Amino acid sequence: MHMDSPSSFKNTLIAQLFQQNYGWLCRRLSRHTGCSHSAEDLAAEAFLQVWLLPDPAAIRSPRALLATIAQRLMYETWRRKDLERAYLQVLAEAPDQVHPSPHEQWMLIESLQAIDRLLDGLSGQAKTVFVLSQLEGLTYLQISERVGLSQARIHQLMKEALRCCYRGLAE
Amino acid sequence: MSTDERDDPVLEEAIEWMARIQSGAFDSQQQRALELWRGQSPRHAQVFDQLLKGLEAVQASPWRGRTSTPLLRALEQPSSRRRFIGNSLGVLGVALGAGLFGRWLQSGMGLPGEWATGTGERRHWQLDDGSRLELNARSRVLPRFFDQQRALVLRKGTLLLDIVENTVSSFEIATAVGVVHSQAGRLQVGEEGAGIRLLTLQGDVLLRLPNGENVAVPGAHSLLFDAHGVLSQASLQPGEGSWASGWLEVNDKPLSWVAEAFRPYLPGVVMLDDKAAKIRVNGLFPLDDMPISLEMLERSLPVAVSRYSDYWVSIAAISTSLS
Repeated sequence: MHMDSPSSFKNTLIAQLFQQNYGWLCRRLSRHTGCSHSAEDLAAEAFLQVWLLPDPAAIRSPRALLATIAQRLMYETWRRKDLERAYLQVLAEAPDQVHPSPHEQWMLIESLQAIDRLLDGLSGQAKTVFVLSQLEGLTYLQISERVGLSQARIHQLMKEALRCCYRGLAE
Repeated sequence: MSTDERDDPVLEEAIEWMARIQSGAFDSQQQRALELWRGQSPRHAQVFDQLLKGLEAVQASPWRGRTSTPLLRALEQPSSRRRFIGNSLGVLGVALGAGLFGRWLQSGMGLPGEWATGTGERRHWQLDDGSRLELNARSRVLPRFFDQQRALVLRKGTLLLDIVENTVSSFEIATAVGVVHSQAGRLQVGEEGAGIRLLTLQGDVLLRLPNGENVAVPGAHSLLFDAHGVLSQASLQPGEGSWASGWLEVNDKPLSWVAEAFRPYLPGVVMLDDKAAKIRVNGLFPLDDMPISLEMLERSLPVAVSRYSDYWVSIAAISTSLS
């Protein structure tokens, strides 16, 4: 046998992982997703993430790693679906208003997801304050009237939100 | 060297300043004091500017200037605490896996009412207005037929549409990076790289980009665009849009393009090396018989196709110095 290049060694290694674990991961995921196509997509994505690791040869327990990565991916897609559904429901509840076009809706949901991710881990109050300040452009006085908190408290919540944003950006 | 952000006094001060600026009661005296603070060291300026850049991105959101009630309602949805897995797929480029990560996430696990095809599956739908939709493999659309509106949202993959003329409304095909409006005709809209490929097989269309720009596209044209504008435009080449027949007709395209066209017909992952990606390809490939198509690539091009398993295909250029 001739010497393999590092990349073909990596391919062989991952292919082996694939062969041994792809079916297992798909079955495991389709129990959660209830859809074999989604499970296949998730599984393929999880393997790609493993392929991107600097040293896949060092992986001790591939199944645990694959399951962890796939689960994180699944949470992301679930969250996206929850957000999208909640948004569409609000639209449906206000039928008399002019609805955004499908494209606008798409952009709004995309942005909704980005904001959700950015503010992940913050309290509901801090999220509300941040959104009212940054997206509606309200002053702290206006926000305090709207939500019934003191301006000093608004300032404090805003700082929490900014700290969270900075952390999100640094990642 | 990195310090924990909670113990970082510069960051804490920057946040305090930023919170004051946003209050709506920031005067010119405070402005001068901020400039003094910011000038204390390059790091002061850098931390402050990064914070500012983050807020600018938020303020560029399409939610800006709208009522935020729906946004807040959606954010209130409970979720488990989790951290986003880093998107490092961008650097890969040549891995044609489940797709670009962001894009894959967009299509997600599907919504109720969505029409979808699986790996290697093409399907057609007769729409309520008499138009006919064909979906390529691994594609998803969301139909939107309300009142007078007739629209499809392309969430993933490629669609081919025969639009029947309707006096009431034009047909809208929405994508992540622009909306196509057509009165009647035959057109294809599909993902290509990070953009969208539009083929006007019959009839002209109007393309509306997110920046408000309108592009009139005549019939028999092939156009590639993304959110920022039109990337390329040319008259339709023979073979474009051929996937619907089950045969991929390739006229002088890079192998990366061909691999992307094969991709919805292969389960698992296809890897392509940089050198192989650029090789030009001509030929006619049966989409419903991937083993034959891959073999044809290997026979006609200086590449080695390795199938490590049914789910892991690697295509690599063969170095000419060894032949």
